[in-house]
Amino acid sequence: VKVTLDQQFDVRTLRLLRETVAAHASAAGMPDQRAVDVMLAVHELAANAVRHGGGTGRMRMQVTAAELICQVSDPGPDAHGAPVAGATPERPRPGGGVPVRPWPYEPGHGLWLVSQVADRVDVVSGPAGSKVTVAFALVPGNVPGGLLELTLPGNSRCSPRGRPRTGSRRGLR
Amino acid sequence: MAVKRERDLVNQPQDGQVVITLPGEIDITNSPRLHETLLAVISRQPAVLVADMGATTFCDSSGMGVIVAAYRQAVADGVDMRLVIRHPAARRVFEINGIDTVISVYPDLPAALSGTCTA
Repeated sequence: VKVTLDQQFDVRTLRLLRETVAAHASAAGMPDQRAVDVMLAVHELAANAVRHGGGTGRMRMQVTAAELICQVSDPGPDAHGAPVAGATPERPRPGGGVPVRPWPYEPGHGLWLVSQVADRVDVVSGPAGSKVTVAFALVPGNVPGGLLELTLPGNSRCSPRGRPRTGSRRGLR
Repeated sequence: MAVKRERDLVNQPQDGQVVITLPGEIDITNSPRLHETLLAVISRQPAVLVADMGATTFCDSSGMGVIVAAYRQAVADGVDMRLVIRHPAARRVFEINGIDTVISVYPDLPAALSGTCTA
């Protein structure tokens, strides 16, 4: 097991984190679509850390023979005081006077999304912050309970593609 | 990435058709602003609104939430809202949620404007 990436992030560096994670996932042998899933999962966890975990966090990636494992941790909401500007879920509409309509932020949706794409998710959360570990099999289909993915050639670019994966999947614990 | 001013993003290829160009990446840093912009355009009740994500290379769950909320508002206001998505990393969040089967998604702007599939 080796740590291939250890990166701090905040709201200003989420984009950099995404780029780095995608590049490392590809370098570890992830097919393109799975590298997208790794990037999306890490981003959602990092965005949660930015919004709810005090505004900053740390992402560590490890690569084993069978898995790519990412751990996203944050110091908790009390670590830095006030919420981070630009990462708050509600904003008044410009001009004033119009009732404030919060943008459709749904608590927990990011984590649900992560559970849909990762092969394994482990969440440890407490007053001192959260630590979420997600694992992605490096060889598709070799994780117990995982599904072998088949790629079918699409003949219509307007038809729905990539249906949500269903089947047995270890959920959040 | 900042969401530009509404007048820089919106153009009208034909009467009743409005195209809004979405940012290169959509995440928690710009989705609140995008929400405001989309709702402002929908409130003018064009016949067709194309949300053009053709140049969008990433969209997260907050961005998807904004698109879904805008779509709901569009349906309520009788606006035919269509999406252009090209990059897999922008499309993925919609696929996982099955949204791409609810909202009409087109591979490029001409297809979205004509409402036909150009595959």
